[in-house]
Amino acid sequence: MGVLAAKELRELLKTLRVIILPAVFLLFGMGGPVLIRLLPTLLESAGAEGVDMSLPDFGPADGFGQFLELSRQMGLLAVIVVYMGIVSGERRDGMLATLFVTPVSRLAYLTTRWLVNGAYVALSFVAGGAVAYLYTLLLLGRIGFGTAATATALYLTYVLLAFSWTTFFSAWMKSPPAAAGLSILPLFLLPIIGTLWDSLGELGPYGAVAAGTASLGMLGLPAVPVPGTAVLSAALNLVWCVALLGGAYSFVRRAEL
Amino acid sequence: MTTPTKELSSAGSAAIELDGLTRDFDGTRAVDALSLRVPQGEVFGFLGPNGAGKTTTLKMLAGLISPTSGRAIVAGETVTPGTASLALRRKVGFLAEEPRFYPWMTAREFLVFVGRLFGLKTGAATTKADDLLAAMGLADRAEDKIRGFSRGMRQRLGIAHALMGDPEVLLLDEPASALDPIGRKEILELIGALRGRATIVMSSHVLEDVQRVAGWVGVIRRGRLMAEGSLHDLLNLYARPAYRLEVSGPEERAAVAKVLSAEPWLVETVEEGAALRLLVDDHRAAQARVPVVLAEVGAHLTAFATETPSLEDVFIRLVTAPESGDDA
Repeated sequence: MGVLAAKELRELLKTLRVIILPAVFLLFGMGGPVLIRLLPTLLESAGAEGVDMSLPDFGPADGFGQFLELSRQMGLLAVIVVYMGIVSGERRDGMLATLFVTPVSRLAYLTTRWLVNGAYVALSFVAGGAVAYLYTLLLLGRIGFGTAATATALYLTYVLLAFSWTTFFSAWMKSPPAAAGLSILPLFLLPIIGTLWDSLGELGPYGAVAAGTASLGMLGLPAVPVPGTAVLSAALNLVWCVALLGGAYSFVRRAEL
Repeated sequence: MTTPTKELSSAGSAAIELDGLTRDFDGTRAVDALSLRVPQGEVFGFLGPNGAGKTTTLKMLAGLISPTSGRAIVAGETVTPGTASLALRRKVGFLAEEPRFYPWMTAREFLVFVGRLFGLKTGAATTKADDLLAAMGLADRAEDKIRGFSRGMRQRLGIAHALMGDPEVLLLDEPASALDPIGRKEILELIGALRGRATIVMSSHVLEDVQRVAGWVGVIRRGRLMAEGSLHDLLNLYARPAYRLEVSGPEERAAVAKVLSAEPWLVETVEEGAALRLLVDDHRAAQARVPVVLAEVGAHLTAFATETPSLEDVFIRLVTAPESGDDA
């Protein structure tokens, strides 16, 4: 697996993919707090003169929370676009056939690819979180490091889950766009399911995200301590990641090349 | 047509043995109960028209696709439905018809990567990669990114890739198809030089290439093996007597060809430049009737000689003959 992992790292560097996700998450890390800092001024200058608007007092939690929300929406779309071909692209290009006539087990191939790229996604997101924390401190005031780290960790499990389901769909589908199409569906469905059924909302994949947001205390609301159900939801997200890897392997194992 | 496999397949121990190997795709039978054996150390020419099932067979032997039924033993490893064993892949090298690589890698980087997958240390893999790049005429492109390689260069790199693991069995799908004449000659010489060191299965529809390097030949048509055996045996069994006939002008040639076409002993007439190549099934009748026909037409004979039967004659006979199951 060491040879394959080294190749994955070289691929990240040489294809410049190494820049894309950090750039996206760093942009959101900077943009989230900046947007919250400038929002009142922007609204004022946008010609809202004469309109009676009452805006909540945006605080540091809103700046950091904005980063998390941007990452959950746009950031995960970027993850899906970057990784829709993680398996299907190589299969379509004929690279899997080239690789699988050498003594490489299909499980080692998939696991290495998932681990290295999953770590890259995680590091990119955490780097974005670090920048968001710094910009929040600079522009909006102090936010507890523990609070920000906990919310980031809860969101991170969801980010990794999105990466894993993209891997799963990419192993299932022969075309990267089809994999992307299927990967986008959970982004919309999971929050909806969470609002329809309380138990799924708390323990389901989106429970960790909702708890992360609540723990920040955005829009002047009081910060809610992270409940045990959210920790369980985050842990289940990681279990789901491994289960999705197993599902992806079942497709790769049987793939005809 | 009866397959003379049993009679012809008796020499040496086998590196590849197929027993009723069959593969269906969505109800279409691509490979139909293929049974053959390839002697160890032999260069086996796998011939067939486009769509005959050559690539599907090679992919099954490489473990890339699974047989629907039947069995194959390659280098002592059984290829069963499901994934191919790592042991099989350590012993087999495979060149796809259009080999693919990581475009962002350099040629050397790719071969070293493959060598490392075969368990070589980086130094040994680099040495081996450089040797193979030199043998393939790619030494001066070793540090170039593969994305800029032509199809011919990719094919050479693909052969180097297939050789990185010192395979016991080398499966080459149309190995010279993208090469220029010089490249083709070099690659065929290389394949010939590997005879005895590895068992090579080389699919092709370029009969000249196969005749140049292969000692053992199988002809496949619509997934079925039509014949298999040593080149010598196949030529003896299937090649018809052939004659080269030259007359003094194109009008006379056309007139002679027209009259000859009615002769029952003539199988096929092929125009080869200023000459006619006559494939016949009755030597004596041909020798007796050709002078008579020339006299009838009033043509002036410039040459009439027997020709050495070629693999092309065998191929044409086998792939154009009506099958027992054909409607026609």
